[in-house]
Amino acid sequence: MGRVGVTAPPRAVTAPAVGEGAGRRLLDRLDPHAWWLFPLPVVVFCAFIALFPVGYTLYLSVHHWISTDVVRFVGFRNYWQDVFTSPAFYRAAGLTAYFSVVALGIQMVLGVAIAVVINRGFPGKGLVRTIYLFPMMATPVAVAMIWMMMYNPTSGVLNYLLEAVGLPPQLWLSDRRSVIPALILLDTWQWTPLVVLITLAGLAALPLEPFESALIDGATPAQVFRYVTLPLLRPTLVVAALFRSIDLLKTFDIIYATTGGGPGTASQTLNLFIYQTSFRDNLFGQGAAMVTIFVALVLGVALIFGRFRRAAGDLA
Amino acid sequence: MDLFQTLVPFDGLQFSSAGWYAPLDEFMRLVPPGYDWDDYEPSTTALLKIGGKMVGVPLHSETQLLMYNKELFQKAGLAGPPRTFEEALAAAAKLHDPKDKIYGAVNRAKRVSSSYTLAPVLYGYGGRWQDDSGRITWNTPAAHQAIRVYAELIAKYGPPGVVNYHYQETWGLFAQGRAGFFWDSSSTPPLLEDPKTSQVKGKVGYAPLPAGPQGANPVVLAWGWSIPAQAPNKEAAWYLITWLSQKPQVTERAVKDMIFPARKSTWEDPAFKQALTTQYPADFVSAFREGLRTKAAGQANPWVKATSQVRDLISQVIIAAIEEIGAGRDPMPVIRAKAAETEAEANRIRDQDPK
Repeated sequence: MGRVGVTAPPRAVTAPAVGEGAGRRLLDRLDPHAWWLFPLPVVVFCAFIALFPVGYTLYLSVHHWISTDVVRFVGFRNYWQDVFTSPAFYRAAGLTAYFSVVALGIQMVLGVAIAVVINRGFPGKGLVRTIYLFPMMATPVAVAMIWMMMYNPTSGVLNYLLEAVGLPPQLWLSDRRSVIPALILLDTWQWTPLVVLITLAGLAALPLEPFESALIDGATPAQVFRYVTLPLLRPTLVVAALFRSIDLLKTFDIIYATTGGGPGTASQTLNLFIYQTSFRDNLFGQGAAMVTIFVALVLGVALIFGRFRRAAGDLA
Repeated sequence: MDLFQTLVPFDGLQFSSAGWYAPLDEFMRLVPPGYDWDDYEPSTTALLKIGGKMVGVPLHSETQLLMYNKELFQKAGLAGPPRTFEEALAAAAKLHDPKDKIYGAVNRAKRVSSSYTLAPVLYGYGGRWQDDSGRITWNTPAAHQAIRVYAELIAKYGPPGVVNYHYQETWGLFAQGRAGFFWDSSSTPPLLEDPKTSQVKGKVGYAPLPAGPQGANPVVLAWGWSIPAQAPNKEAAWYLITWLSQKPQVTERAVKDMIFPARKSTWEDPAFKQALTTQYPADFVSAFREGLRTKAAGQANPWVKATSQVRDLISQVIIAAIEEIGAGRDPMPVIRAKAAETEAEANRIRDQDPK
């Protein structure tokens, strides 16, 4: 218990090798502590790496510091003025929730559907699977640039296609009502493959027997999917949803590279808002206060999923 | 560090309240023979003063120009460039042909970018960023009117999606020959006259910025050489600055690298004039020089520490106005409401600046 990894070598081996002298005796005395002494440097290093930024963020969050100024202690003013009573913060939080929840729903449904189809097997399945992973491998900023060109209201290919079939052209990223759906579409294109990948792995690991017995009992394919495949997949799906929701809440690159949070502030999600507060406006204290609350929110979501996963694990 | 470059209207209050600028007035008489301080365009040296004290020496000059597509103007039957903002609206209406993907006018609207091109309209209609006490004042009838004109021009006669247009997008659209006119920095013409970046080379007309009821008020900007207050070798830095900024050196850089000068004598220099005529039409030079004789130098944005934050606030009023006009409604109620709301927020931000 507790002595993970490095444990003290068995007594029987060290005892006969005892030499003379004080040095030897010191080593003998340290020997029982080897299990924590050896990993100590690494633990200290890791703790510093992990804890210093967190501690420094907390420190900044109760200070006022605009780049060139001296750092002034302001207590919880940043939290109060720029987070809890700030309409801009709530608006950004609402946009983040809107973006994340809708995108998560679409990506999960689509991802599972595609995985089930690919799992069926058909000629060229390997090729399709490989090609389908490409969007995920591309650099988000490059992807954002390409989509920005496709979304361009005057010269973009999407409006060209719409007009070709007689539909009215859209403003896509340039209208406050359509900017978030357009970003969701972009994110779905890039990240549904991750859900597919995880689901495929889950499907491959499922036992065959439940499917056989369901077929023998006369279940239709829809019933098999609903009452056998989905329940068995639940732990896998919770993991996929957890990965996606954390990433969605933190989405930055595609939004920054396309709209910069615009038009106006119509796509200014929390992460963009924090970035702009800290690095465009140089208000590091306010940014730190926001990021502290934001991390707490993301942690909360992760905990909820953790609970789901345990529940799902018990079922499986 | 003995020397740094600074753009005072943007960074000045932050840098000066941090005590970064060494005052340069005491050095001013230590200059090479023939240096001539009066040779500078007053608008450029005015920019580099904070509270009456000189903190930098201009290393170039930049103003705002109206750039228009002469071919499209001819097609629309327009004799010349608009000289007032009212004329600009009328001209844009004539030029606008969205079926052919030709748009009457384009200007910046994306987030922080638009305050720079709104400023001449604001001052043209008699508005100001701030009153004498420094309070931000864009919730005034003059400012409302300026915002309406600015928004109407690009909402009615601009490209769809103009709310996401930054500088790259505005000059890009114009360089494709798809916009009638726009106004922006005098650093744009080099891009428009380069066949690698422009399809309108040779078709661009340049004119002084349109005027409002209170005249034309282009924003002048000039990067400056400054010396940090903590610099160990202030005098050596000063000698380098004055050497770099004396007449022969400024002229040489202007002729060789087309660095537009802040010195009047360089604009009159035969070699520079010759270099200009091979690359730019004559109206460019006259519009540029007229643009330097502005009263609104340095009014690119309010004089606050959190420049970007405050610029973002005014842009929200413009965006809201564009959206109202796009929806076919009268923008004035929204402009008034949004201007009041963002002005209060901007003043709250400004109040956090140390006095």
